[in-house]
Amino acid sequence: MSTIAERRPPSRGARLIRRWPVRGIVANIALSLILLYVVLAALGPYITPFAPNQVGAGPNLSPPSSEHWFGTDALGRDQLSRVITAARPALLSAVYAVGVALVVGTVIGIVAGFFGGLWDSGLSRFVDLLFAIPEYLLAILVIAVMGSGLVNASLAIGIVCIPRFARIARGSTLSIMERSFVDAARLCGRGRVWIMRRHILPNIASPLVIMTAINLSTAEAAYAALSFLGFGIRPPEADYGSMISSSQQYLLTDPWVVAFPAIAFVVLVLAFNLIGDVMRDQLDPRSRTSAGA
Amino acid sequence: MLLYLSKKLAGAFGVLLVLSALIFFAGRGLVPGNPAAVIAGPKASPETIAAIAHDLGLDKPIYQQYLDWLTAAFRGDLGTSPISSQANTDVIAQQAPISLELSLMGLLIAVVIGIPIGVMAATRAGSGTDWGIRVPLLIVFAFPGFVSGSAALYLATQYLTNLYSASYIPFSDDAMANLQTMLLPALAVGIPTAPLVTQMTRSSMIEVLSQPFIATARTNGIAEWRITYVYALRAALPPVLTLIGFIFGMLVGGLFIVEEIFSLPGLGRGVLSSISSRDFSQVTAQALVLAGAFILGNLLVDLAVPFVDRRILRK
Amino acid sequence: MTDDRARVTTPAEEPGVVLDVRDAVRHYALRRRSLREPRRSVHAVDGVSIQLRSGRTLGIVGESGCGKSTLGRLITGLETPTTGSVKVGADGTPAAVASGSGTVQAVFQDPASALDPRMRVRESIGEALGRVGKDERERRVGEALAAVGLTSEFGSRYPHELSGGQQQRVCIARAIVDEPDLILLDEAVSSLDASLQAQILDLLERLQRETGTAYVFISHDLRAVRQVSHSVAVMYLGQVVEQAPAEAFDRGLLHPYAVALRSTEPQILDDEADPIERIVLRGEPPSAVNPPAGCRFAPRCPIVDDHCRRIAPDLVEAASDHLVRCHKPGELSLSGVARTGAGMPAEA
Repeated sequence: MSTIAERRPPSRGARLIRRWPVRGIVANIALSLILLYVVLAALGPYITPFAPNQVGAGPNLSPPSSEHWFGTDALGRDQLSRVITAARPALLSAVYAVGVALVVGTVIGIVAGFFGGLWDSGLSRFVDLLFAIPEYLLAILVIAVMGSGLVNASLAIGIVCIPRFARIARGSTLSIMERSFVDAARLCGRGRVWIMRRHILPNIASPLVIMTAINLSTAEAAYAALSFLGFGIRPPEADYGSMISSSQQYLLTDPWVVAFPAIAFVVLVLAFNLIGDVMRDQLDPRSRTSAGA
Repeated sequence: MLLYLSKKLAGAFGVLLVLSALIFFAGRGLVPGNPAAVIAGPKASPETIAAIAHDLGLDKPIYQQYLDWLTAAFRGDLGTSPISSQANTDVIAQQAPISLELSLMGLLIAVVIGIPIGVMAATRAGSGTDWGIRVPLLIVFAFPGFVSGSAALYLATQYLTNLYSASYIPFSDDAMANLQTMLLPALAVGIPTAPLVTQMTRSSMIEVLSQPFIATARTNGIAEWRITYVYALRAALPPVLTLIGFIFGMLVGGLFIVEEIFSLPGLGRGVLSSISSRDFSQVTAQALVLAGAFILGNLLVDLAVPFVDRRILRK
Repeated sequence: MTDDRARVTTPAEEPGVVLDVRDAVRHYALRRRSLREPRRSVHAVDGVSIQLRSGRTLGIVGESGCGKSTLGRLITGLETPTTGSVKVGADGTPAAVASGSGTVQAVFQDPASALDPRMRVRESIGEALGRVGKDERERRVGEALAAVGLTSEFGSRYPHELSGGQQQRVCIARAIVDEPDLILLDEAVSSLDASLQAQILDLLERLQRETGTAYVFISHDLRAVRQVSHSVAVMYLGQVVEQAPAEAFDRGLLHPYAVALRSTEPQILDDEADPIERIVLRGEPPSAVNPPAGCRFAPRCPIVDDHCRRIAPDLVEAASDHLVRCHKPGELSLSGVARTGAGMPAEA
């Protein structure tokens, strides 16, 4: 017993490193890319060479040059400035959407799993119902009612993602409920709220974190798609989806107008995807591999 | 078995019923205020608006309107659009086959590409080949339909001019010309979906391959390709099949985007144009058909699963 | 359903009684598998009456599925009886009301599952203390840790940093810290290896001597039950078939099921006087969904007759503090079938 007593708990820093969510080269590149976008989103207005909405910053549809690295679009707006500015709505939409889905879905899942009975069947029905609607149709219907825009489109995507979080939260809650420390806490006179907050939430956190990582990429892609269809942030504000759709007609003659926002967007989604995929392997031990990426 | 089937049928019907209400009220939400005023135009007098409202039954209480619409829908009448003055069923009858063809072709492409790659990745799980397969797929996955669709359109119009024809030709008119038009959009729907199929096949296969009966088959000297593609794949498919609902969801999402890019007059594009013209009657009908088809597809999968995997019934 | 009330002599008001279970019945409704199937229910606990005084230990043994764990959940108040009553504490509060008040605590089978992996030991033990000040909480947690033989620095550990035996000690510390009247020990040592079992059982006995807490010790392990219990109840298909003082457990068992169960553990006996014939029961226990009409043990009983199959026996007092539910008590003994006539124990 003495050897065990001598074992000190690891220092805070060591624990932080051990908890670092991802390992491997691929995942770290992905994480660095996301950080880069975060920096661009935060500093956007201060670092763009031109005002992103400034019409006629250069000649219309000029190819990439030393003055306009990414060229200009049909209205002569500087594409580099617009690509940088668009990082903000891209990240915000993902965060809003996943935030809504995470909070609402987790509450639904925990309540359904914890209370069981009518609560469970009622909430599960609701979740199944949301699940039974094609995702884009649901999102478009929500936007049809609430109107387009960054917040509304993100909210619509968030609603679409609720079932995923609710299901995983419910399933994890049910498995935690089988552990006897929940009964022990009841015998100790702890109320339901305490048990849900202190016992269940911390124990289902890791699948939820992984689910969050996976859904960030989905949400980001979905927002860009909605923006492509014209439901995103209102023009003339820069946004990857709308930049691609408004330049689509010049695709054949001036491909770079589409290429740069498309590349910027794809790299971001890919980075989210890689993180999500690495974390998915951690969630599902069946598909775990050599922890390579 | 009968209980399982009836449960699934009742469930699907219930979902459709609730969805119909959701879609109906969402359609009404599209036009803030009085729809009759929108139809009559900005300069109409209150009397004209009231007359239009009365004609369309818009002066009844909203739940009554919903019930009227629902009973009509059961009889196969999805109403007439007050904006385009066309019967909604006629419009949908033109749009739906295009979307159906597009999604079926897309599904086929996703399965044909996704399953063999998934099997390959599973047999080499964890190796460089596995990552060599997965990383490019993730990259494909990161290209949503609207990016890969635009790229495909660009490439086709540039280099494959005789493969792609921009105008839609019905299948019944000229099957070859129709396929020629649809191949590219179907690829744009199917290819982004394939990684999902791959992922499901891969994880299901990894589980099956670790089971004892595979080891037994190996010791019995059965050829490795036969073990992988016959024994293991057959056991791995049911879970993949049950997840096909996700794929339907992606396909429907793909419809909106791909039809828009390739200017195909399908249901997805129809919903979007109805929304932009604030045609609440038509969008309600279109959304109902779209959701109904989605639910029907999932129902068919649910009903097919027990035939592939009899264990489901014993649960 | 049998009525044991007439034969139960200990009233709840008698001083020192901390557990009073009367005719407790717990049914679970079953899901129907087809629409034509009638609604059915499992009789997990079917008419159990037991009493326990403070400072004493009641052992409950039986095969898995006999209802002993359900009985445990009734005693802790985590579940309420379908009919009958379960009262706990000196004032006889219904268990469901008392649940969480600190009157009844429990130690569960798997200590790894009974401790929240995300909580430090200190927090887990402190959960049992209601609203007390920080200093007092710290002091009492430290005392509880000391009482179970752990140093106070274990308080800042997480469960995965402890061995199985240490984890179970922490669970016991959590159970005793608020000084309950009664502790349910549900297979509390079953997951530990033999030497740890002995340590923990010694610890429990010592704590009982010091605090006078009553224990209900549920286990399928006869040896452990025999070691710590003052009185042992044998359960079969939701009913108590025999309740005997611990001493009677060595030679004086009367019910054929209890005798058969006991014969599987001959090494408990320290005297080598009589050879023990291991009695092997045939068949599985019948389903608790459709219990047999007569004696529930009849389908597997080695000494069954037609009377047993038709009429269910009642739980009767065969000797002082010794209850048995059998038409032919004592006819089967550890030395084999004794044809000595009905009613009397084969050996005292």
